[in-house]
Amino acid sequence: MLATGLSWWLGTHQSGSATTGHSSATIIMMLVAFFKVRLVIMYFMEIRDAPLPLKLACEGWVAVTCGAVLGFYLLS
Amino acid sequence: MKTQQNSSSVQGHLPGEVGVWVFILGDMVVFSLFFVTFIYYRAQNVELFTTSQEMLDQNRGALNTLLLLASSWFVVLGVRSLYQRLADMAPKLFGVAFFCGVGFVLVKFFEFREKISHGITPTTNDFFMYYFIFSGIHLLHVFIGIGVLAFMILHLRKHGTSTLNMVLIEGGASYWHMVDLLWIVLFPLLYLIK
Repeated sequence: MLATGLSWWLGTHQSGSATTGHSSATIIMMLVAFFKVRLVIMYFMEIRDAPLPLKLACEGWVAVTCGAVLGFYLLS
Repeated sequence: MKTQQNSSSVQGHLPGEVGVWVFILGDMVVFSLFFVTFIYYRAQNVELFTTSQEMLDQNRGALNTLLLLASSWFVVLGVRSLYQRLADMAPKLFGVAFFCGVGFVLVKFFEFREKISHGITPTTNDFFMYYFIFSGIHLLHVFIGIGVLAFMILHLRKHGTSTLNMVLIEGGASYWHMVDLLWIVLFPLLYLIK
């Protein structure tokens, strides 16, 4: 729930207030988003207790997707 | 109801069944491609994407994020209540999750309607093409998820704890959490990034 509150604050405040350093605000925002995604996967979906192959597949998805999104964003 | 965890974590507990997870992971990979496609084409025309994004309502998007997060939380509580043998609570908790999902759909419906009434459609420009298509496909998943939640509630009302199919409940819950996590990425991607 704390992560939700943080995300809400980041989403509704940072994006509108930054006139310089937009990139860093966006990067933080996306990292928070993927951190929340990982929390949903591990705790809501109970993947923390899942068979190792599934746990690895989910962790891999988070890492690859986050990396690809941020990678292409930073290249722009 | 929960299987005992072996000393090796390779075994673990699969929430649902293999088929559901093949589907969930496949869906997540498809959405990864959507996310990367969006970011890639955004890089080709940052100004268009940024100015178009300003026409989106961030507060509605944030409200939708909270609705789905809350609904996921109620699904978690519902599943836990079944493990704790508080079976009477589960339909109510899944019911709250269901209504949060309906809330999401309503917010989205009004959002799309407002855009279209102002002449903003998927053919307006590339940003709005991606906005309508990706959030539209996600919305379709929300519709399916609401149906899954309704099915889970009906299953609970029909079956006592002895005949309850936890594989079905956990599979449905996992699907709903997937719908939630996809929006957690989609919301900042479409509405917030600068």
